[in-house]
Amino acid sequence: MDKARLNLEIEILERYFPRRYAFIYPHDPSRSYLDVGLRTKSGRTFRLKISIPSDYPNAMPSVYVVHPKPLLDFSNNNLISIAPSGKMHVLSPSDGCIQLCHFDRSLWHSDMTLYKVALKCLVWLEAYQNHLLTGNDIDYYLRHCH
Amino acid sequence: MNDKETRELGKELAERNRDNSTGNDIVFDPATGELILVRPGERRNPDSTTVNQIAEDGFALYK
Repeated sequence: MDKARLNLEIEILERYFPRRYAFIYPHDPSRSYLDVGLRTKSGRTFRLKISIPSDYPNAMPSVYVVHPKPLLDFSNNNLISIAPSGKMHVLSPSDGCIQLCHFDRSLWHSDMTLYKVALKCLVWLEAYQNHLLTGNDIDYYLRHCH
Repeated sequence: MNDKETRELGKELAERNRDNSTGNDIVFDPATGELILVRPGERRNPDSTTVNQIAEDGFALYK
C-alpha cells in the first residue's frame, strides 16, 4: 500500500475505530496487516488480523480471527473443524485461525477500504453471536453474494 | 452481556436475508464501537455509518 493510501486508511480508522486498531509492518508489503479489535452487543471483543495484500487496494484483504482462539460453534466444536463452510461463511483457515467470508473477490474494487472490511466482519460477528444463542447456521442471518 | 440486543440484531439480519423490510436501520456507532438497531424516528449519532447495504450485498460464497 502506498503512503497516500495508508494515510487515507489511518484517517478513516482514526475517525471510526480510534484506539482499536494498529497497522503492523505497514511498510513491508510481504507481511503487512491491520490488527483491529471489534466488540459485539454481547460484550465480547474479537481481534481480527486483516492481511493486506501487496497490491492492495486493487486486491482484496483476507480476514482472520486471532482472538478468541479457538472459535467454537453452538455445539462447542472448533469452527476450524468444518472450515471451509458456506453455511457458516468461513473460508480455509491459516495458522489455526478462522478465515471470515466478507466481500466477494469478483466484486472487490479499489474504492473499498479496510474500514468497510472491518464493518462487514462486525456484521459477521453479530451473526456468529446469534448462532451461539440459537444454533442457527450463520447463513440464516447472512446471505451469500449473488 | 446483552443477549436481548444481540437477538434483536440477529432478527433484523435474518429478516433482511429474506428480503423482508422492517423499516429499521443497522448502523455502526463510533461512540460505542458497536452495531446498533435504529428504529424509525429514533435519533442516531450523526457520525454513525449505516450498514444496511453492507449486510444486504451478501457475503462471499465459498467456492
